[in-house]
Amino acid sequence: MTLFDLTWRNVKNNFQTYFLYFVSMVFSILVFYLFNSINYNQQVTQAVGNKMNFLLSFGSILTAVFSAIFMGYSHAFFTRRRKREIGLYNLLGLQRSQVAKMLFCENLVMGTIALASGIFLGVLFSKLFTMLLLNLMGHYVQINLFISPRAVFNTVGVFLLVFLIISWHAHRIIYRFQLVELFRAEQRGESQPHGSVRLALLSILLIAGGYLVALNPQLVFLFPVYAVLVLGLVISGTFALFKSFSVFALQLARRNKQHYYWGMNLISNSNLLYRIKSNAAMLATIAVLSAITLTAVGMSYSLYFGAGEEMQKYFPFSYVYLEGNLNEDRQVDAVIAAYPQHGVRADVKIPYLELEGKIFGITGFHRTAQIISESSYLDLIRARGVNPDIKLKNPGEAILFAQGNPSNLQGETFIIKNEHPVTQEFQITEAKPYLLMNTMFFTLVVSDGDFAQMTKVQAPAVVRGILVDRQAKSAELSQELNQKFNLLSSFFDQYRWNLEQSGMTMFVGAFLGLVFLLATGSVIYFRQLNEAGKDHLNYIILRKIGVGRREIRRSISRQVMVIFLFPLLVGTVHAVMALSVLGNLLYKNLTIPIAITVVAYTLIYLFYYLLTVDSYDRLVNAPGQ
Amino acid sequence: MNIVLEARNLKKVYGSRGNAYPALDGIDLQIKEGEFVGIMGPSGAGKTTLLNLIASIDNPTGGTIIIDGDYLVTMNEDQLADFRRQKLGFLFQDFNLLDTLTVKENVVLPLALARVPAAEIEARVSRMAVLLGLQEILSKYPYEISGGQKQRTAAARAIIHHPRLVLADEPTGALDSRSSTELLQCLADLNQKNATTIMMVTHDAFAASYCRRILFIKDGILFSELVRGGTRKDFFHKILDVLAVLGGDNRDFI
Repeated sequence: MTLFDLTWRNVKNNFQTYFLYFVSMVFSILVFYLFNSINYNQQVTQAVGNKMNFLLSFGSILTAVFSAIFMGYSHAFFTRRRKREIGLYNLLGLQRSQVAKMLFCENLVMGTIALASGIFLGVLFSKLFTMLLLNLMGHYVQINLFISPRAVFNTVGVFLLVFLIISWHAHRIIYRFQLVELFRAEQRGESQPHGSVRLALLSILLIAGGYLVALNPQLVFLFPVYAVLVLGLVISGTFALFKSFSVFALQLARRNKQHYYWGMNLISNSNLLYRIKSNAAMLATIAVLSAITLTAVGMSYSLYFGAGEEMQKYFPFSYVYLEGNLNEDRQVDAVIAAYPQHGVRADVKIPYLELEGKIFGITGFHRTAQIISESSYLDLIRARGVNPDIKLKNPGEAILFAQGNPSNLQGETFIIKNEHPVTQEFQITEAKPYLLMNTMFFTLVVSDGDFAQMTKVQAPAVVRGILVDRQAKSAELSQELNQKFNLLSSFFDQYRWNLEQSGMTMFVGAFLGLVFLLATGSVIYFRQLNEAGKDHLNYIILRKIGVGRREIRRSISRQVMVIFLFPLLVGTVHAVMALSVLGNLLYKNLTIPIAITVVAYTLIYLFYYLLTVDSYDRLVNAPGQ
Repeated sequence: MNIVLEARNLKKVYGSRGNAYPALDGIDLQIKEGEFVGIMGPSGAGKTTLLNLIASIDNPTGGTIIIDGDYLVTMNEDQLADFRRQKLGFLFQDFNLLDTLTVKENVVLPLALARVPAAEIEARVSRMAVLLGLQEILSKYPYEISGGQKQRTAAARAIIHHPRLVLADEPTGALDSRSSTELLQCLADLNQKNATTIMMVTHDAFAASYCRRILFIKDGILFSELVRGGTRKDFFHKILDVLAVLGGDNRDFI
């Protein structure tokens, strides 16, 4: 038997253990290839240009880095688990270098198989996924089956490098083992961890502090400080939480003897307590990763599905341009008339003034405001078939229409700079979170009298807004108008841009989320199975003294549930927090995207949970043992 | 006296047809309440097989086992598990303590599994601790205590739920002679003071001499029986005589 035979045999026999690891490896490779192949796809470039290159490159770099970390971690773990086997080879007279060579080959064989499968599946599915992406971005293009040599080259190159580094690392571990150490049984009965109440409290305080900072909108303006503070507090708090609070909680559960001395609780609790020390870092990492994934996916999801409705609020008209002369108006009308499917629903011209100012209450809050008269406001509203719902009572008052959430400016005073001679101040009596006209991001509606006074000093500009039917499908019309005239804003361009950006983000976000999810799920899986292997004897003892298989299975289900649920719960809370803060910043209600993302994530996790319970149970509880 | 254990024409065949090897070939035995019975015989005589069958860990090929009125062969797996938990106590050669539990938790286990109220558990544990001298080590872990202490812990676990029958499989096999003597004295005391019914498998004549009655098996059948009459020393010599006739495993004959 040659070394290669031995290698091949090992790979085959360990396949069961490696299966999930292998799956997530293949998936990472698939995603990496997919991102690359889309990047190099000519048809995609024709359809949407190079806009996506950055995001896709970023996504594939993230995939590669994450996979490298995940594979490195898994490999170190597997190698350590096989200590005894390695020792046996040594004892049987295989030289260390030979064993090392064997392990190196094993990794390489596995890596090659994974690489081949990943690329094969990538090629197979790239057409489907590329079309899915373009669909999300609002382009309906038939994509040909396409093998991108450059993408294959990149994938093979990057992942071979990763495998080489990992294999080299695994191979170094062997030289560090001592032969005696290899045969020493896994250290049993390591001392019971002590939960420090102080550290447990501190972990809660750290996380709460992070949340408080996050919720404090004033600090957003110092973004780097804000981000570092929030992330630092929450992440360190999470690690402390898993390290100490978990021990503390388990020990607290022990105090209640009635509960602790009840059926298998004794066993589940102490199994968890003993392993929490070695599991804490992993679980905390998984919680943080879950939070990031949930936030990213939830965010991109809401961007995507918010894209349509948000647009209406900020882009009430299909086309907007600054009024030049009547001749131009007639040309525009002629162009639109050539597209009968896009009938004109509203057509409005209003005068406005653009002035610099500052808001009194908030120090240094400078804004450029667009000022229009109350009758222009009525024109705009009525043209779109909406009933006006606000009224100015006195001169010197103004109603604000702005992006986002301007309600906190209600009651403030807007002071026009440059010592404007007529009316210098307007009190904002009401603030509305939408715009009256595209590109008028901070509109003040003032009384006709005030407006007339102001126009005596400065002549107003006139803007024309046109609303057409089926504006979301007006690609050709928009293109023609854009070419011929100098438009200030076009609904369709903005709409398409939004759709492209958010569709892309969602696509990349969802795939990255899946890569994270599969990897973290499989890490929990093989760690749990490793523990099952160690606990095997304990379960035999329990069965001998009269614990039924069903009861053992129930206890395993509960024990593994804690391991899966704890990081998921913490991750979800973090993500909900992050998304609600982001929701406030972006003036969106993210409840539904959060709910959908969390449910989807939980379902995939549930699958891993059931798989783990089943394998665990089969390992310690199979009939015939 | 009630009969705790009754086995009739017990048979166990290992392997399949053509390659069958009978480990037990028709054993009849009865153990009454309050007895301390030893099972002896040379290696391969079927001692452990007999114990496993009675412990309901293994199924017989033929015959019946009745423990405290329950017919083992008619029970399904879950019923058997309940049965073991409620009516049997176990002592193993290698202790079989759970290494993630303290001594106290190990002792408590059968009661916790039976869902006994915590207050009663505490009371019973303290009684056991006194009975078996575990007070000092209750909060220690198995890896922190000696072999003898481990086996006394296991003994406490075996009897804390007042089983109808305690099954001991070579309980002194992994102990030094002092710990062995201590443990055997403990078992004898439990038998006499608490009227605990014990069945002990051993190939050590010294250990067997603590029993009240000994059954010798050889090649899967009952070979002879000895009942203790006089002192333990006399009994010990009688056991040696029988073993000499029995032959085979004689490493403990010195």
